[in-house]
Amino acid sequence: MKQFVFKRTLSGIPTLFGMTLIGFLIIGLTPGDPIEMELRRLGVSFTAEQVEALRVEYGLDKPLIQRYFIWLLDLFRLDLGTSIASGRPVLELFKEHLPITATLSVLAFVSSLALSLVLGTVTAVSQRTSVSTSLYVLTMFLVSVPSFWLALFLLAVFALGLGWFNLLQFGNAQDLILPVITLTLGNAAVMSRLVRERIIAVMSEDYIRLAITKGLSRRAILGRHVFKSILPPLITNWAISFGSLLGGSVIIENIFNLPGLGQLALQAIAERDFAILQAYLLFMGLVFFLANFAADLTNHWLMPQLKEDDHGVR
Amino acid sequence: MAYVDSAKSIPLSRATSLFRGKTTFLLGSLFLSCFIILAIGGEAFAPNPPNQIDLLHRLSAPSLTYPLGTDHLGRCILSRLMTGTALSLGTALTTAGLILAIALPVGLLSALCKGWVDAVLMRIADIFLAFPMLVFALAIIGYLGASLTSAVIGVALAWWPGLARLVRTLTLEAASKEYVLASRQCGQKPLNIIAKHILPQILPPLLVVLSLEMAGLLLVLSSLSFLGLGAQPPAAEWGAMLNEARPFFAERPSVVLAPGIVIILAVLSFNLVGEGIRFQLDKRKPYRW
Amino acid sequence: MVDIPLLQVQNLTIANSTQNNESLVEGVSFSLSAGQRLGLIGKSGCGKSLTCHAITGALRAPLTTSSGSIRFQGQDLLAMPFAEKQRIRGTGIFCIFQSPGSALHPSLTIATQLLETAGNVSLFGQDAQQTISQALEAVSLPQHCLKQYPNALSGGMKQRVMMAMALILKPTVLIADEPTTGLDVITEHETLEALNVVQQETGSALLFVSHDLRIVRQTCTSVLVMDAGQLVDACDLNQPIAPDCHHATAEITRAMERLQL
Repeated sequence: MKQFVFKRTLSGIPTLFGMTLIGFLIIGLTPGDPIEMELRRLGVSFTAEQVEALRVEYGLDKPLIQRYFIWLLDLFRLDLGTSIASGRPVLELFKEHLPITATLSVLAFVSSLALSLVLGTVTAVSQRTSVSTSLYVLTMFLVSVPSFWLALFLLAVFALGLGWFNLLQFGNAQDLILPVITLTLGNAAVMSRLVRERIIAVMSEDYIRLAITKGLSRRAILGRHVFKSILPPLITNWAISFGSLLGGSVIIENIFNLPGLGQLALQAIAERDFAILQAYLLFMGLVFFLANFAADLTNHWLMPQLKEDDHGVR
Repeated sequence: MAYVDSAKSIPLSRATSLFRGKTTFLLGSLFLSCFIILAIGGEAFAPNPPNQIDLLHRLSAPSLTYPLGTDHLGRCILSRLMTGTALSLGTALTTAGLILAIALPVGLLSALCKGWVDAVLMRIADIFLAFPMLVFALAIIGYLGASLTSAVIGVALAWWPGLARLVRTLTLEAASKEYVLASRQCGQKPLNIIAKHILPQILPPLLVVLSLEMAGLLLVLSSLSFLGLGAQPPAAEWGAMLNEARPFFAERPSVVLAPGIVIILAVLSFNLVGEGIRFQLDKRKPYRW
Repeated sequence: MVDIPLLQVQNLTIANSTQNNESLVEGVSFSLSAGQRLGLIGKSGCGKSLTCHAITGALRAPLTTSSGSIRFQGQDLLAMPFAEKQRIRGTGIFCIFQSPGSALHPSLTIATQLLETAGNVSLFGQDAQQTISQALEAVSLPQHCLKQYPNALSGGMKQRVMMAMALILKPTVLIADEPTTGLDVITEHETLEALNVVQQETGSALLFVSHDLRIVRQTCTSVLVMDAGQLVDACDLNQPIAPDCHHATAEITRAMERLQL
């Protein structure tokens, strides 16, 4: 186990390094001068000397490689730079906006995990009943619905129609219910299709026939034999799903007007505030990286007899 | 599993398999061909000019002149949806083409050169894959500035590594076939072998996967347009139409209804076709309960 | 003494429900009484395995038993509710399948797989441990196998794990569906020895399915011959094969004789 952790960490370092490089280049290769652009945007009149002074202040006058290493050192010290638009440290802004996104993603992740296991198992195991067929059609429909439209639909029904929720304003925890439901439904549908797919694949294996012939109960076959086999690829997939939830939360935050990281990023795109955008990319990348890392470790811990590359889909 | 015995279950299972296989495929193809017809001749079928503003009939209910009502500028929603088909589907198709244009050479090179080329290319793919897809697309769009072009580029850059890995796997599989080895031993030129033996093997499965990915691409691109990061108003792109309609959503929820349903139908038709193909190719026979 | 057959297959027909109900096995009838060792031979693809699958209830989806009956101790298995069928599986009828390579669950230890088997005959804790180690001894498997996963065992060892399962379950009817396929000659011999042990210990009735008459001869006294989905002949192996037998029987006998030369 220790050896595996060590090896996996070692192999992750180049990836992390490459991620910082990509993250840096998004600022480093910015078309046009961000300072001039920002000053123009603010409608402030400026002289070439003033711009030059600002460039030195933000360290933009040095060569690219030097800037990368300076930036990397700052990154290790958790100095994510200053937002050009608001003049506030990026870290501070992140601390303000993170809780909403974290709560939203984690809640949606946990609930879609549970829902997808139920949906996937029911649609896979009892293939010929009307319940499973209609659930299957439902998941097919849900994977085809854009999350923003689902959000608007739920708002129309539950906020405008029934008046159960506030419309487009964030006040208390209750206002997270609809966003979480929206994210959960879409994500659970996608995940459940994989669960179904895996269960059908495993149910076609010879060892399931043996389990049946041995006279095991359905619960034992499903709970022990099938579940044990579908778990590794599912865990790998769950990490990826978590990544798509992080991305998907941008849309949901935008519609429900939640002050999370996604909203911060969208604002940064509009204001061309690259420091925030860069930090957003790196932070989400890091979370996603850790999720994948955790998935690999869990798989290794669960079934040490499998080789590294045996953990299915990516 | 269980003894598959009773006479009743036979026609029922037949109905289900029919539903899951051919019918799914046919239904999807039917929708899809409607969309393709609309994409080609949308402008000609549209009852009104898509950008004709009629401020007297803002947000009006469906009527004979405006079958699906009008938006906040009094433009005919139906006409805009019809003319928008070409743009919306075209964007997704362009993105898919761009993804293939990156993924195919990378995957082929990586599988055929092996060694350090393979290691470097796959490492790069890993780095791209290390970011959540939408987040990465957002960053690229932020870098390029919001426009339809940057949305296409952003999505393609975030999307190619997965497909490149698939191309690599398929190529490795194809290149290990006996007859490819034989033609290599006969001294055929590498490019010749790729064109004659490897591409014909990997293209069909690749195109099936890519057509399945079309559903996902449509969703992502329309989401970006909805966020105002893709197609810009007054373009009649479906996602952008929804974005424009948003402020009037509380006033008249139906303005977001129609474009949403059209997007759902388009995505659904790709998913149905894909599911149909997958079902036909599925050779597994699970034990039943 | 009136001979009540343990297992009675009558007019069994297996059809593919998606392809115009094309029959793969047609009108197969035979019976098996307590302690009997019956062989079932035929060429590859003649429907031997399908018959076994139908008896154990593990037919794959589009295949169905379209007519006939399978009676176990007088009860029709095909008309039985699930819970009762589950009770008969394992302790009533157990089947050792061909291709041992894929028959064991790859990510459960042998111990887990044997323990759950023991659990099925209500053996838990100390009792289960004891039964399992006795069973392993009987099929001459080392005890350290228990901690291993199937991928660490050879094909012959996996097949003997299956035998151990049979020993634990002590089924009334044991079906061996080509248990030696894919094993080398020495392992084949060991496997057959183990099967003999199992049969002696449990006193099960044995239905031994194979395409190889030589092997069947070692284990069984009488044999049924299948060809193209139908039962065509029945022979007593203690007597020389009659010259007026079915051509399928003759074919198999001739093939065997040629191999022995």
